[in-house]
Amino acid sequence: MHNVNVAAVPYSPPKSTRDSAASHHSSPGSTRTSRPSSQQRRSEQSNGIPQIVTPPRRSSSRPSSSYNDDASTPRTHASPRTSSPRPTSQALLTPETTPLTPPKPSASPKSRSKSPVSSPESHRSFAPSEGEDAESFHVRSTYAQLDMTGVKGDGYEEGVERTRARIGMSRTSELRAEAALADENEKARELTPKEVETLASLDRYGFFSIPSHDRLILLPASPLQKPFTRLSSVSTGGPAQAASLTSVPPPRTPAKELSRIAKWNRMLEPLKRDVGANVELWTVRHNKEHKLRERTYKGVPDRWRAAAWELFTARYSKTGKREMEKWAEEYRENLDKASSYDVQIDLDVPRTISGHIMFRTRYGSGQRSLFHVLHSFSLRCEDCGYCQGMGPIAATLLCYFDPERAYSCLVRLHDAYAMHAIFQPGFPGLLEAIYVQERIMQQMMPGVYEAFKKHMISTTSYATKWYITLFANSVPFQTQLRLWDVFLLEGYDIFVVVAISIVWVYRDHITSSSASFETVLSLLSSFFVPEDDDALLSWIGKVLDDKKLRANMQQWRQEWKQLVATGQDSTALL
Amino acid sequence: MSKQFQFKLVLLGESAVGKSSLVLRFVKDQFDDYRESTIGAAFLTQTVTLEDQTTVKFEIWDTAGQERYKSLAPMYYRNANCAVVVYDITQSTSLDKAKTWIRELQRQADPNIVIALCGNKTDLAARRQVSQEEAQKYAEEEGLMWGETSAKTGEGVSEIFTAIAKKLPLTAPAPKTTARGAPGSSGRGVDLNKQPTAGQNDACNC
Repeated sequence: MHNVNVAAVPYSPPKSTRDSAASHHSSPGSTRTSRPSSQQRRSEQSNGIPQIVTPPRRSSSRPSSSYNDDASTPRTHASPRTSSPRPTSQALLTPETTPLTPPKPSASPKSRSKSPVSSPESHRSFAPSEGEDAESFHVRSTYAQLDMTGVKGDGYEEGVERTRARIGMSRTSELRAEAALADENEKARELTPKEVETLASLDRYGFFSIPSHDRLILLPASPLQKPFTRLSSVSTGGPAQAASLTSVPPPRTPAKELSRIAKWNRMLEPLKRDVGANVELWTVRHNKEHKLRERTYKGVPDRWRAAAWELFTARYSKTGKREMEKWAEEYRENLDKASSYDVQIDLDVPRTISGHIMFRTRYGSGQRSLFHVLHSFSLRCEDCGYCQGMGPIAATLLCYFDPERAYSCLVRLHDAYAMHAIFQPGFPGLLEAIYVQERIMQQMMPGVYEAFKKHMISTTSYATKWYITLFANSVPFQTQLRLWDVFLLEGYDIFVVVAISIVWVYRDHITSSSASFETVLSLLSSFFVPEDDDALLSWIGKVLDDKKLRANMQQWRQEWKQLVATGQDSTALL
Repeated sequence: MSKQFQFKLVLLGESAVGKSSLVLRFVKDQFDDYRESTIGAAFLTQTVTLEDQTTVKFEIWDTAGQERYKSLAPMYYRNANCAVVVYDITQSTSLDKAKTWIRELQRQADPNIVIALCGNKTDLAARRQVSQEEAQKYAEEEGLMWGETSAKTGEGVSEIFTAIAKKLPLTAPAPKTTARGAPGSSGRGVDLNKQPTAGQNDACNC
């Protein structure tokens, strides 16, 4: 079928109602967010628990509902959990009678056969893996067990802590933990008025609260109207401070969203369908290829984002369905393995975009998915393991993909988008990006570069988190998504240019005669709220389109590698 | 005329012991149950006014706790005048980590650096694993300041920063434009000759 209108894509409820944020974020009014994870649903279906019918989505033309379908992960191997006995809440909570509880430190972690549920087909996470310490096993098995039972009030309740800070079980905490487990009624019951109110208050990306930030400042649009040209003069008369804001404004519906959706409908076509004719992969129609870049800079319509990100990362990494299947399998296999990073990951999971409804409830489906993706990914690269900063990246991906795809996407970022060098010990990719940023500043904004020098401000002191989290906690979520649209299409260079755009916008504050170490650093450590995302993206697009600058960037990257090779890198940065 | 001083302070300690929460309580008197993990380091400032109207401004570097970020730490403590090394009283391993940081500071940082050992999360005293005696004894042996705090309730937070401010050498007037190493200031308001000798124990016992 050519000229496919996504509205015509078949829609199969049991699969597409999965609570992967891929479908829920753009329909925040949906109750889907409170539903257990796909694995869980499968296991519960096998237990004969009736399926909840999800309310109709707001729009019928939604590519990602079928796009995001998990047909590529057949149920037979998708979840050994389906065949494992569903643990009772008692099993989860009584230390002496359950394999869930980590063995006492003195006990051998290899006493796997003693576990009553560690039959060959249901061994997942119920017994320690080789070399796994008691604490890590406790963390990993708790997430695995809760994947089967679910937790009560997922999306609304705070939830009960079970692993973080190695909480011991007192009788009171045992009772609280037991009470927080979901039961069959959880899925069948009506929503309470409070839950309805919560859902209605979500912004279009699924946030119920925007976290407070220490310093919130406006990123004005007017400097971005000027092209990026070399500045020979320096302004010193301006104020050192930028305009501050008291709160992050709620995201607006992007301009012309409906007409853009229609354009994307015409621009992309299905590349691969599963047996149920659901679209698995998309491609760009040949005669529309020339529109792709411009339209991406204007912002991928949110309902097309999952499809577009998948398409962009496949193209950029030159990988496809075969690799995806391999990675999905690897993701699931890694779930059973021990990771020395589990305790650290567990510390970070509940504090990662916790203002988003999917990640709100302790051990809710979103937190479990995040844990699983980070756990499996920590085993992928021996050098990188798990690095703080991966959390917000994986969480953002989980807003659009199911865990297997989020994992695959992380693998692509690691392998093809140079993120390996970003996360590696010593952060070589970070330092390289900073070197390139400094060369651009020196060449194009020499006065600003001198001001940094004068105030002794090293670029690492403000830009580290930009480059490691890909701006996840430095700009509003909707701005972050716009930056990622371009990043996934064109690669890591964009983040150097985003850094440059911020310095460009605030250049007069940085060179102000009343500026100091403190004012400049406070300014650049802020959370930036762009006055106009389109102006920002358009400016970035023009800079990245500058062939000469891009060639220079390449050359500076080589230069940096040379400096590292000859041991001259330690003095090469501000 | 009131005197003004400015010092660079660095927070170090294991992941999730509450470094950023301590700073948030100190700087904004707020608390978040789930504060995003710090990537690299965060820069903040806060001023303390002492009884004699002397004001001490802290330039605070709140560092990331994960081991991976340790390679970036030297640039934050290199020119620090004072360090708060934080552990979690409910996690005995976090005290071991704090001791590692203290050894590193004693070896690598400015020899006159004022170090405070800080046991955070006293609101969770029911789950305490590190006794006050143990931590205090260690602090005494090493000549460190010591105190316990709860960033959640605010208990002891301003006290520990004020105690540090008092311990710092508030003798020389603060010159505005002293050269310093990046990032952060070094030596402003610091008269190195007046630095108290190591070995003194000024536990603030808040």
